[in-house]
Amino acid sequence: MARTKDPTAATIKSWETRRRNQEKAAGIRTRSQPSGGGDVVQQRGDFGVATSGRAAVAAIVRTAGHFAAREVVDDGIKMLSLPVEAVLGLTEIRLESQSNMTRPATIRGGIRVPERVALGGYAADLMRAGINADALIREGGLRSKPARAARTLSHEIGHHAHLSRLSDAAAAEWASISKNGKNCEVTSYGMKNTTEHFAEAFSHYAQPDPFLDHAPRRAWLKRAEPEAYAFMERLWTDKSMWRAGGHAEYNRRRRIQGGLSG
Amino acid sequence: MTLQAFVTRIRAGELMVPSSLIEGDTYATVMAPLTLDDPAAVTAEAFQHGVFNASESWERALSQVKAAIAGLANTRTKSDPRRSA
Repeated sequence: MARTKDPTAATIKSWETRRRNQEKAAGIRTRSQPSGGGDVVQQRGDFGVATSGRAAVAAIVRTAGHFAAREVVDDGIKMLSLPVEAVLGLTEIRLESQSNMTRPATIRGGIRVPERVALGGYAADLMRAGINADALIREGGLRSKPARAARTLSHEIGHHAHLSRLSDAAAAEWASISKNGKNCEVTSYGMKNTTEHFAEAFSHYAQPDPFLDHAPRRAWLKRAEPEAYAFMERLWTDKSMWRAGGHAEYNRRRRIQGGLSG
Repeated sequence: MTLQAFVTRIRAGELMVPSSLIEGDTYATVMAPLTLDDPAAVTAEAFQHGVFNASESWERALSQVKAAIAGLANTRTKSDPRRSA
């Protein structure tokens, strides 16, 4: 009897090979995993061996079938500079469909709240981030997509870093720098509150390189908000700014979820 | 893009920028039209959109934005609903 090749397994295998080559070219190292079926991304989720924040992020992105978006996100990850401490404990970054990222129109307090489509989100209770994969593929020019992915990714990781990973002292210091977003000058989004200000400043610092005709976002943060820039600079270099036990917390959550044996 | 064109686009509701939607423990990024209500927010976005050079001072840029918004408030276009009211 002729053996039928599983097209899904073949697709995943070729995707994995291409990804490994891309990681090698980008200098990203992750532990090799068996390929050929199952939830490959889930298996890749052990970043106990990750040497950088980029590798850690690459390991916890789950495609949920959005392979085209995964390509864009991978290109976006290469544009980022991230301390691994910022990512520890983040259980997954899920590429979601547009419908899962849409809040339907409602009536609240007699006022109609229109339908809102989210580009990304972070659930602090679950330590999980989501990216609108459909919007990522559909909107923006081909060359600008990775930059948009980098911006959304780093913003959501910024929420995780602020709400779940900063030490109490560092969080208090940030609150005094931000003044509930009043001291934000970098974007209008960051002016909303302390949390959004942190995520925007974090996102800008995480993008050190110029893209197309834009100046590096990190350089713009330095120019617009020197105090926030100095704070972020310390986050990238001083481990005492972070809450202790990141790896242990990460492994504990993975065990609870059944994603890590032992 | 000139500052005048920039604030005109904002008044027309054409400039969408990321904004926040907080539901309990979930922080979502949604796109929302920028308004002219907050000159500081308009200034920040003007820098982001290259209306001002990075070397421009924040205070000077902010005062220019305030002047542009004030100037726009004094002009009425054919599409302005107040014109026919």
